[in-house]
Amino acid sequence: MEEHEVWALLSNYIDGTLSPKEKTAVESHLATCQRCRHEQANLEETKELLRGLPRIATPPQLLSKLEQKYLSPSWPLRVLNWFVQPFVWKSIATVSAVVLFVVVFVGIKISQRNDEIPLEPLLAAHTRYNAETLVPSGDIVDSGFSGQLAAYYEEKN
Amino acid sequence: MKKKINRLKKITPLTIATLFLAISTYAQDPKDILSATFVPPQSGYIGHVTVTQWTGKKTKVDELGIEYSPPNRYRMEFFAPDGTVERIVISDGAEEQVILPKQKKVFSGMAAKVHKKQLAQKEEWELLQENYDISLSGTDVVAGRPTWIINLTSKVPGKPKQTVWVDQQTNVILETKRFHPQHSRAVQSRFTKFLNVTENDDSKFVIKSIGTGLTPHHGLDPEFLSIEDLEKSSPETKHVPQSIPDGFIFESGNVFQVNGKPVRHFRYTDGLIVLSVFQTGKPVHCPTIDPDMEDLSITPSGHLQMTGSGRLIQWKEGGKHFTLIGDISEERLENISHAFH
Repeated sequence: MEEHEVWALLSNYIDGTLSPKEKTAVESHLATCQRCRHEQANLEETKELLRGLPRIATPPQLLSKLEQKYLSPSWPLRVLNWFVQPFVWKSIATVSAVVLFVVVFVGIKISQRNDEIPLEPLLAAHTRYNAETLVPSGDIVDSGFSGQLAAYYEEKN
Repeated sequence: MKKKINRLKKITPLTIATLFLAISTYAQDPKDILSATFVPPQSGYIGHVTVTQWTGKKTKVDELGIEYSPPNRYRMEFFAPDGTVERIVISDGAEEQVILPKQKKVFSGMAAKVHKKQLAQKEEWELLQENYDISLSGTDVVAGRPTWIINLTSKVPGKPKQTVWVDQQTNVILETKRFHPQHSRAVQSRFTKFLNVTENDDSKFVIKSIGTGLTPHHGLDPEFLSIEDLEKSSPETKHVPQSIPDGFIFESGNVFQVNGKPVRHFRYTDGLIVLSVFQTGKPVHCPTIDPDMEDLSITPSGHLQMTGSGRLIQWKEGGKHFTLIGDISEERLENISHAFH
């Protein structure tokens, strides 16, 4: 085993977390390498020193910040999670249904209106015929006809 | 005795003059006076006319200058409130042109009273006398000219009353008023100036072609087709009755186009008033009901509304839409609409 490979495993060897095969390989190397045995001794001393230090309680906000940063889902997932909440998707569904209804209703009304025949030309035709009567109506010059024609084309434009 | 004779001498000329005037007035036959107006005037004239329409609480006024040259040439210039000309109507006796300067539009059509109707003049005159009482109520002065006052009163209720003032010299109708005694609707037109002329400026009656293209036809002139002609021309035409209540008979009909859709127009007359029945394949859009119109109602048989041309009622039958327009009361109109169901 190469030196750098042993050094990477030393910490786990001291903690006793290596597999039996890895442990055998590390012990075989330590038996022949003074430098690695020196490194092992340093690590064990450091571990003892750290064990002797007093324990400090972790601030709660630190824990939640750490959780949020390292344990919470990514932002797309967070957005999705928000959407699937009942009150959110129900509200969106209701608003969408209302908007769709309004759009369809207005569309139908516009379509019906475009399908209708305007009244003005019918009134103009009726007035135009009045000019053919024996006795004129109250309008002796049949001004109604030209007026209705003007009003119809003004509205059309 | 002498005093009595002197008094008699003073009274007698005045009495005789009054009696003479009364006798000469009432010796005139109102029917003769009215029928004289059917013939186009033999001399030209220039005048100024105002036309006032009262519909509910609304009033509409048209003011125009008119020039007439026999046999059937006329020019009318309608003024806007600021005095500018907002539309012109010219007839050369055969064709009529409506010029709208602001919209830069010109439309041509047929001059009035050129084509022969289905109903002959004599028959129409008899129909008028059958449905109306014609009376002479006196004389008046209109535009500085003496006139006869002729009243036309319907023999059935629900129709408007009409009064015409006929110029004693030229038989031109100088004023006319049509009104409903029980309903808030009336139309009145009156010459405020009238001048007989022996010669007119012929250039005023010339129909000009506008631009390089043909002047478009407005397509609303009547064609005088019978019920049989209409049914032959189009199988979708509803068979309409020859006569309907209150003295109206079918006069003529035709088909015209509005936005590419055919509109069948059936016309009925009682000699004075015209009723129009329109048959369409699509509904006719009725404008929003105006809350200012007092005597407006909606009946179970259709949508009733007042327009500038009278009252209107609509219904649907067998996939076809009908619109009935006429200047009669809503009760009469509704009664008449049943004749078409």
